[in-house]
Amino acid sequence: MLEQQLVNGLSLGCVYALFALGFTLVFGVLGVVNLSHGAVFMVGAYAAERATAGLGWGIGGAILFALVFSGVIGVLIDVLVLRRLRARQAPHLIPMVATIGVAIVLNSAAQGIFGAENRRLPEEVISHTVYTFGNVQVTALELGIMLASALLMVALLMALRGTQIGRGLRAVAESPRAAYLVGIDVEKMFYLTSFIAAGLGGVAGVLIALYSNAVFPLMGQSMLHKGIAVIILGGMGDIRGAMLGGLFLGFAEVLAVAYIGSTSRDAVAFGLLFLVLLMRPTGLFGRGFERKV
Amino acid sequence: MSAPFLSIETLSKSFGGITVLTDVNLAIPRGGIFGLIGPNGAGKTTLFNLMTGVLRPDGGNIRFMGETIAGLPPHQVCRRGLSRTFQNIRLFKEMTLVENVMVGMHGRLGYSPLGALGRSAGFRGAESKARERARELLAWVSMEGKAEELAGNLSYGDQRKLELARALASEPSLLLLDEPVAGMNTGEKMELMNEIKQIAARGYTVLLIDHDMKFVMGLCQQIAVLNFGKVIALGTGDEIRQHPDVIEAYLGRDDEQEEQHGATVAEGAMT
Amino acid sequence: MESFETFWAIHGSLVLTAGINSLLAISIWLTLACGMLAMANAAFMGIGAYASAILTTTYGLPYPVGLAAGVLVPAAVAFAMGKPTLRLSGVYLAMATLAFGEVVRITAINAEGLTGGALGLNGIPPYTQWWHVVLALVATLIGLHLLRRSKTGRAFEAIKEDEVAASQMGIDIAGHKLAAFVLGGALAGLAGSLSAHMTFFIGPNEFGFDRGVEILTMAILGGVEGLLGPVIGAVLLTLLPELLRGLNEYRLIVNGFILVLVVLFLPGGIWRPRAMKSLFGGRAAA
Repeated sequence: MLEQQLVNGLSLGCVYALFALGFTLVFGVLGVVNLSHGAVFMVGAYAAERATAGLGWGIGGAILFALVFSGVIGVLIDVLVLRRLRARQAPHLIPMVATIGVAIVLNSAAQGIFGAENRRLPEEVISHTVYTFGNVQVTALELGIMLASALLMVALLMALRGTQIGRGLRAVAESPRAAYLVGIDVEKMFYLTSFIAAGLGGVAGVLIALYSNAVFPLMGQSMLHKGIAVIILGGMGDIRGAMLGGLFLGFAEVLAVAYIGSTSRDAVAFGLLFLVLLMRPTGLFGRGFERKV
Repeated sequence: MSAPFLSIETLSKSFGGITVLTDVNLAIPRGGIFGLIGPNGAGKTTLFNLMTGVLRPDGGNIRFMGETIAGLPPHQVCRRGLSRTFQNIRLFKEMTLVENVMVGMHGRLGYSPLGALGRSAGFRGAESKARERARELLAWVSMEGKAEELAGNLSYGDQRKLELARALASEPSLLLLDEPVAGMNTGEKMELMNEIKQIAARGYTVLLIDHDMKFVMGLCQQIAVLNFGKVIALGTGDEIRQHPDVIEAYLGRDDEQEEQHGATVAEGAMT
Repeated sequence: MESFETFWAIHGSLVLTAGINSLLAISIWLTLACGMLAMANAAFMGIGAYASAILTTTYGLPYPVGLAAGVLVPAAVAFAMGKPTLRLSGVYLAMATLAFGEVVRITAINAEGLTGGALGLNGIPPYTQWWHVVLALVATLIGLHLLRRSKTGRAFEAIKEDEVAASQMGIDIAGHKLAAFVLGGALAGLAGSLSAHMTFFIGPNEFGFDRGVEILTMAILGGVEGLLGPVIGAVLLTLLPELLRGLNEYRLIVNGFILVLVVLFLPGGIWRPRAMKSLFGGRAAA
């Protein structure tokens, strides 16, 4: 019934929100549509897989490891590729094209190193306990996913609002030049953003790996498309919009699968994407600020 | 009395809560050179943008030769006979001078892509005439010698002149010039002033915005003064110079003594 | 003559593939040339491939009919989706077209009755002759070259440099962009149809993101300033895996590296007629 579907959708939506958050963060602060975000998502999943299956760590440690590892990859991408393009003041689309290349390199590397088959996170790491609340059943896994995502998102929001660094990030997002003039180290802010965004993406990767019980090299690609749909739904650069959009997509997908059929799942994201782009390109949930032409 | 050439009727425009133009009324007759001045931020370029279809008005209307042009897309406004230059020069830097001017003729070249593909006689005739005309226009602004150079290599003053030649290419009835001499030295300004006079003598109507009072007074028969999005004065150069609202707009209002002093200074600044 | 025949027997399909890839690279060049990054051409290629292949294979219609469908169907789709989509600019357009590509792929997988679903279409008759490809490429190059030296070519260049100014010159921006998009779609569809009738088999995953990236890489590698740029990029990227034997598996990662390296270190691509002319003196052209 509906409540069950909504609960199912909630955990999926939380992960989408987490992923989209990282994606939109990079756009908001660096002004780049980072199409390698799906790749760092995949990197996080593999990092956790290696940590648990290879090193025998628990899931908590694995998630932390994934966060840091993906975060570092994110910073590397910024330093090696995006920073040079910034220095050149390349027009917007150029960095985006470069990140496509980066994604391909990472995906292919993963395939080369790990092979194309599905891997799974070890059984022991996943709890199968099921809790029942009235008509609704939730697995410990789903609860864990919701908890982890919510914690990270809240932490990020609080940091953005309440800390000095957070304010610095918001200043850079609004105007890198103005931020520079008031003494903020803008480059460091860019690195930090890349780290946080990729880290969140990596955690999202672990959570999805748990949720769908699969780790494979191209897992980031379809996630990336969904991420694109979410940030357009939510308004690009809009953090609140990304979170709401992610939840919305999670619900929409689960409901579509339940009531239409499983083949409609991916189509939901794109259908919504088109509708929004055609009718309200600034996003459904965003504050709809007009882009300066 | 015949229908005014260009009439702007109770035009208003806001951007996200900031009102830029309020109930602007202006009628421009055919022939001659008309000036539009006002302090920075008064709404002059916005007015141009509204006339040329870059922006849509929030209220009011703009009529050109009897037909409404407010809200039309820019390429259609051009076909109706309005042409403009830009405050920040917008040349096609990777194209030659001749090519820049020929782009200006786009609406006038009567062949279709199919004709171009087939290299029909109509195409060849139109292209060679266009090239000739482009060179002619470049000669009007004394730049024919540089016809095959890339526009991006021109000096600042020459770039402004090229913009003028390009704006003439579409055979406009009304030419809008947005700060045509900004950044030029006195010699270049005099040269351009003469070129504009000659253009007007050929029958083009010119409406120009500029901050150089000498330039504006020396060229324009009629001048409108815009401040805070409203027309505060309209008349000849002399009338404008002595208009109290205009003086206030440029210098602000203080007590009587300051006002007296201000009036003298203003007169000096505007001569 | 014998050495040519041997050469062709071994390398014929490679040359034809290079030709088809050239058409694809030119198709994205058309939109890049007026300042748009549209990533839908792999999808249009797929639509053209499927349209032509379905007509020849399932319905046994003659090749010219198939080819016509392979050009007209993607063009029609491009026209229909182009009108609303091209209003978007920059990043939004790129993402919308990427998403469109995915929609087409998903449709191809799901429309099993028509497209053979995930298994694809088999047994496509090998109608494509070498001269089809050559004719298509040469005609395209000549046609575009002629257009470039006319008001249309100048209009596209103007749009790419400064849309606001271009519109003020009487150029219908939306109309020109749509024309470039539709023409690009038609070219990509043609390439798809020619390719399908050369490879006997097509599947939905051939026309997805990977293909789209490959097309973009070819155009960017070659450079988008002149008409020969995309051709050079296509030829290089087709031949590269062959020249570096055994690198075929790494084709994708090589594409990725090329994309990043070209963007970082060779922004205009390889073929930059203006820069070369100024180096050697004389006026810019091509």
